[in-house]
Amino acid sequence: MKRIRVFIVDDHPMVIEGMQTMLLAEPDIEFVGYAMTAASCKGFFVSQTADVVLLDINLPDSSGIELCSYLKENLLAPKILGISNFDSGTFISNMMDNGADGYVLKNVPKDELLKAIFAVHEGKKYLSADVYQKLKAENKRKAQAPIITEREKEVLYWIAQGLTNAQIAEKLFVSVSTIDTHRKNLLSKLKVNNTASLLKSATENLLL
Amino acid sequence: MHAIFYAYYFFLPLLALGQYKKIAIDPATRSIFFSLDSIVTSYSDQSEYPGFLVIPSSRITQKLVNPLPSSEVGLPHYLSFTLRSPRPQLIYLFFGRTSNVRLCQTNDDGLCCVEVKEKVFQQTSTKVFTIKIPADSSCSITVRIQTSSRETEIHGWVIAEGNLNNFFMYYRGGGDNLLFLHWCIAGMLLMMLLYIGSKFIQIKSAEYGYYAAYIGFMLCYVGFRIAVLEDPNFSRTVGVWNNFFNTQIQVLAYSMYFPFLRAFLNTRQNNPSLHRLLIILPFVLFTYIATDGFLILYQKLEYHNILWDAIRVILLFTVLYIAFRVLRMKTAYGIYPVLGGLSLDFFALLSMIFEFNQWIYRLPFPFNIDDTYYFIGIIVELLFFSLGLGLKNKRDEIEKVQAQQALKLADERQKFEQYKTVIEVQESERARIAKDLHDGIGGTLSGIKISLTNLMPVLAMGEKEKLQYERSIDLLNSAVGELRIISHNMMPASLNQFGLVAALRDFCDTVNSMKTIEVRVQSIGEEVRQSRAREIVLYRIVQELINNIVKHARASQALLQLSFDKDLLSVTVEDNGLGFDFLQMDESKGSGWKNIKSRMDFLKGTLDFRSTRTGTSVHLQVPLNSLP
Repeated sequence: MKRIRVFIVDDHPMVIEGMQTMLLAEPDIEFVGYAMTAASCKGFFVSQTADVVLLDINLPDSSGIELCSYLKENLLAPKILGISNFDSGTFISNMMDNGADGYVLKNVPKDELLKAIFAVHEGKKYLSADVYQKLKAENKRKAQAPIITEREKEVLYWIAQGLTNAQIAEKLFVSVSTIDTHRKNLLSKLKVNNTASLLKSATENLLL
Repeated sequence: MHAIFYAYYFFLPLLALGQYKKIAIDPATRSIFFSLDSIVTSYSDQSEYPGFLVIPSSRITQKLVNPLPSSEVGLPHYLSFTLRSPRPQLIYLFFGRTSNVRLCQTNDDGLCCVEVKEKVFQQTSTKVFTIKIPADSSCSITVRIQTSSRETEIHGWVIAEGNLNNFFMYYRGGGDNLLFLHWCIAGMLLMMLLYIGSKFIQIKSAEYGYYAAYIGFMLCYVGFRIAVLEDPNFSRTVGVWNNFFNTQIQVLAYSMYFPFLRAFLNTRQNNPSLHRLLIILPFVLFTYIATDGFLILYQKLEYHNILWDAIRVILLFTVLYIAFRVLRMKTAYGIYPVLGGLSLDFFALLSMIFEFNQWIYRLPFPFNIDDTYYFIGIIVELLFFSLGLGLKNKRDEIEKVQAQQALKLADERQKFEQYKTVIEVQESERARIAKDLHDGIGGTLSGIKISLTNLMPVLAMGEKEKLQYERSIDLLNSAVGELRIISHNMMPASLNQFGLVAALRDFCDTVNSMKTIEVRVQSIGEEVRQSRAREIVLYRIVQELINNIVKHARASQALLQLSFDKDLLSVTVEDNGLGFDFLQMDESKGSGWKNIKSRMDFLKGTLDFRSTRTGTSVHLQVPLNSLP
């Protein structure tokens, strides 16, 4: 079996050293090089190729995410495995949206890292367990119906009573623009276009 | 007879310098008393009245100071005068333009005999009384005058051997008008004085003070005139000092004009030479007042009159000159007091002209002409002064307010810049620390872990060592994890790259991972990126709010909503906890709320806080703009 050619992009020398040692010990993996900046990574890929790139999000001269999409545009695009200290859901989903094939945290145990490399090389997506949880939560969140805030509930009540924006504003001691915002949010959350539909939808959803 | 009239016209310009001697009516007997000085004779040639040549001597014009009230019109009045002569002569009394003059009495000794003739001069009928005075005696004449018209003029001449003494009287019906006018003017001046006086006390500006003094003296003058009009006794008591008060109170008033100009135009700074002039002039006038006092004291009425005329002319030209100087200066509204002075000049001049012309042209006027014009002049002048003062003060006020506003704006801007700098410094420091932590130590720890992991298969370890090894790896892991959290708290990594919503989502994810509370994050509308400073400040506010909830509210659920709408960002943070007492929060729980407040000020946003025992809702509104 051909060895998997792995390239590391990370700006922290200790990380590179550690990973390099780890990879060199593996018979199925060929360590082809490393870069500490996005620029030198791009430089490598001008003349050479790799199968899997371990890509740190945090690079000094550009974001890893940008580099990820750059590499993916290449004809012989390598598989990208994002490595990072950041476990922020935003970073993760952004990396994945930009074409990464996997995402692991830097303090990942060795066997998991290897598993990840093999997985993405085969074309699968790999996420470490906690990363996966994060992403799942993120997606779940996208699917959830929005909650109506207390203020919006109040404004809804007064709209149902037939008050104008100005009257409601006076009643609640806030500015008319505030009421306007609440109103707009309500329309957006309940996915309606006018007050009548708003009240109908609100009644149906037992909000009034 | 023509000679007389030629003479009359010849002397007219000289008459212009004549003066009025005020006479009063005795209401009981309706008698008018006055006396003519001794008559000097001289030689004349042929005429119907032989023996006299018209040579000017003391020209005294008598004027009724108390015009007839309307009730008196139609009733006979008696004009009595005494003629004295050192030698026998014939005296001719002419009463022009009236047919209602009748000589009715002479003194008892019967030495004087009177002959009455009617003559027509230039289409007007004139009564001539010829009185023969024997040697070195005096003749007392009473002339009865009766007229039915409200306005009648009586001109009389006494000609005695080349001596022309004329007197002029006119009756005026409706004498109340003049008094009424005086009271009106006085009332107006009093109100102005009170108003300007109060402004002076309020503003304490010199120009108001001098203006008030000016009005005050004018008021005294009008008051004096009213006293003279109302009460004949007053005039009699004051006597010859009438002349003094009549003229010098006015002069006192005028002397206030110059310091007023001085203060109004601020000549000390703007025009030092004019300033000197304006200082000297009042003293010149004071000197004149003192001089006049002496003149009156020693009964030198002629000099008094001459000086009074002279001073009026001098003042006229002085005001003109000053007007010219001021108009050359660049002043704000300086034209108004100048116009005021000039208008009084103009009306005074008018009144002087009319004074002298009135008995040539016989123009009927309802009021005493010179007073009327004079009062009109005063009113116009005061109008100009007040207008000038008003405009100037308004402009000063506006400038002051503008300066204050500019200062306030500069102050606010400075504070804003200061705060912004503080925030920027703080945040850049935090970012640095976060980066150092995360990349530096974090990276190192990760690297160590990787190295150790590499070592493990190589090392020969017993069970105990293996356990220790694994515990060390765990410690390393948790160190990295903690570091991550600290670093993230210091500076949210995703803020810069992905924006406020993303950063707050990550933050809430971290909070949620602690499993004590569930925070939902929702965003409405397309996110609008702002300046780095604003975004980090907003982030910190929300961070503070949510930390407060976690620490104190004992809530199980919380909601964070960000709503982007055109140029307004609304942030809602709600929880179902125990609620806060806003005021208590401020004091006891440290600088958290104070920070939030000052941050909201920085963002120029509003915060609305509502809390009950079942939950809290905080609503922020922040304007979205590209300016920090």
